[in-house]
Parts: sequence; structure tokens; C-alpha cells
Amino acid sequence: MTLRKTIEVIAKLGAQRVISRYAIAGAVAALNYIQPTLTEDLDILISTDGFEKRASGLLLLGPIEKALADMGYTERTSLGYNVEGWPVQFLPVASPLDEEALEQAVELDVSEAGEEPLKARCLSAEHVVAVALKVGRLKDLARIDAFLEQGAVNLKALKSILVRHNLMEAWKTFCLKAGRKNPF
Amino acid sequence: MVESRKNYPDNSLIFAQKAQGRSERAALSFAEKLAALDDLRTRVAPIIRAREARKRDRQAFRAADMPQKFLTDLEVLASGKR
Repeated sequence: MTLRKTIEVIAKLGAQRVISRYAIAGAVAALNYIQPTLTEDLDILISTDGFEKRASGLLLLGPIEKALADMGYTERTSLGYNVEGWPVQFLPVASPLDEEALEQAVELDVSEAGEEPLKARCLSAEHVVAVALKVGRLKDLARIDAFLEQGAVNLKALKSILVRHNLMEAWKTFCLKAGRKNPF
Repeated sequence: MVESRKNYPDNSLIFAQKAQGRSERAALSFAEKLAALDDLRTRVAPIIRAREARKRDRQAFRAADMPQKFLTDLEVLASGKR
């Protein structure tokens, strides 16, 4: 039971078109750019195309549940679907920022030397930071700090995302809280 | 303000080494980082299990219908009479 196997299952859902577009988000996406930190689950940002939407706005993820069940993954916890021992949380696109992040996700090679090649999509560093800023919990702000500390984000590209999605005020507040000089 | 009269050690080398370690870990491949995360999760699992057990115990204690009886039972158990 490894995270790589969990991602392999997600990539299969993508290949089978159960999810039309997806990208690894949250802490595991951050992992691609900064040092590993502990997380409880794997967040997958998904496009809402092809899912039934109720009038209330509720999106039914039945096709994902069915495809996972067909592959033998039937357990569900408060953290998400249990896939190869890791809880997976499917997060439907919920804002223009999410939409752009999904659109501009990058393709990653998840395989180690000697393993079967495995490609998966992952949010760009700049979108991981912008989404974290928007969510704004303390752990998200700490993640942004780690990106800056480790020089893992392109500041010019980040600024254009923040401006486009009206997040400059939130950015200034973050800099103040983190005791950082605003780089913009 | 407290005036320092001691000669405190200089920790800057330790912090520099930690920063170097962070930078080296950040430079690993995604696959290597995934493996590191699996390893990290395995290592902290006993700590998380113990934390959850403590939480369950606290909740059970709070939810007990008769806390007084619960305490009495505990005392009986502790005294070895049962």
C-alpha cells in the first residue's frame, strides 16, 4: 500500500475517462516542489464535466464511486475513499482559480528508476500557492512560507495569478502574518 | 528586559544544516518524495493511533451515563478486588 499505487489508480480513472480532467492538489502536489511533509490524504482536483449536478449545486460522484468499487475499493472514511491505504478526496472545481489550476496542471513522472513509467497530472507550484492562499488555514499559510523559503515558486507567474483572481489583499495579509517583506 | 549574563551557544550552524537538509529533500524526485511520505506515515502511525485511543477514552469517560459508577469501577479495579 503506497501512495504511488494510489496515484496509479487515479491515473487509471483518468485513462478510463471516469474523470475527464484531474490534477493532484494540496499537500501531495506541494510535495513535488518542496520537502516532504506529513499529510493524511490525497486531494484530487477534478473537472465537473460528466457528473450529474443537482439543483442544490450538489455534485454526484457516483461514477467515481462505481469505478473504484469495480476495482475493489469500496471502503470510505471521513477523509475520503480508501485507495491502496490512502484516503482520497475528490474535489470538484469550485472557482475560476480551480478551473485555471486544472487547465494549467503539469504532467509528472511518478515512477522510480526501474519501475513501469507512470504519468500523473499535478497542479503547478504557483497554483498550489494561490489555492493555499485562498483556503487560508494556518497550515496552508505555512505551506506558502515553505515555498518561499525554498525558492520553489516563480514569483512573476504567481503575481499574475494573484492579480487575476483578486488575491493581492490576501497576499499582503499573509506577508504581514508571516513577517515577510512583500516581494511584489 | 532580562540581561543575559551567560554565554549561550551559537546555533546558527545547526539552523544552516537544517536549511541545507530541507533544500536537499526538496530536490528529490517526486517518486522519491512519495516513498518518503509513505515512510513518514508509517513511522508516525503508532503516535496517531495512541492519540486516537486517548481521544476515545476521553469521549467514553464523558459519555458515561454514570461517571460516579465508572470511577467506582476504576477504584475497584485498581484495588485488585475484581
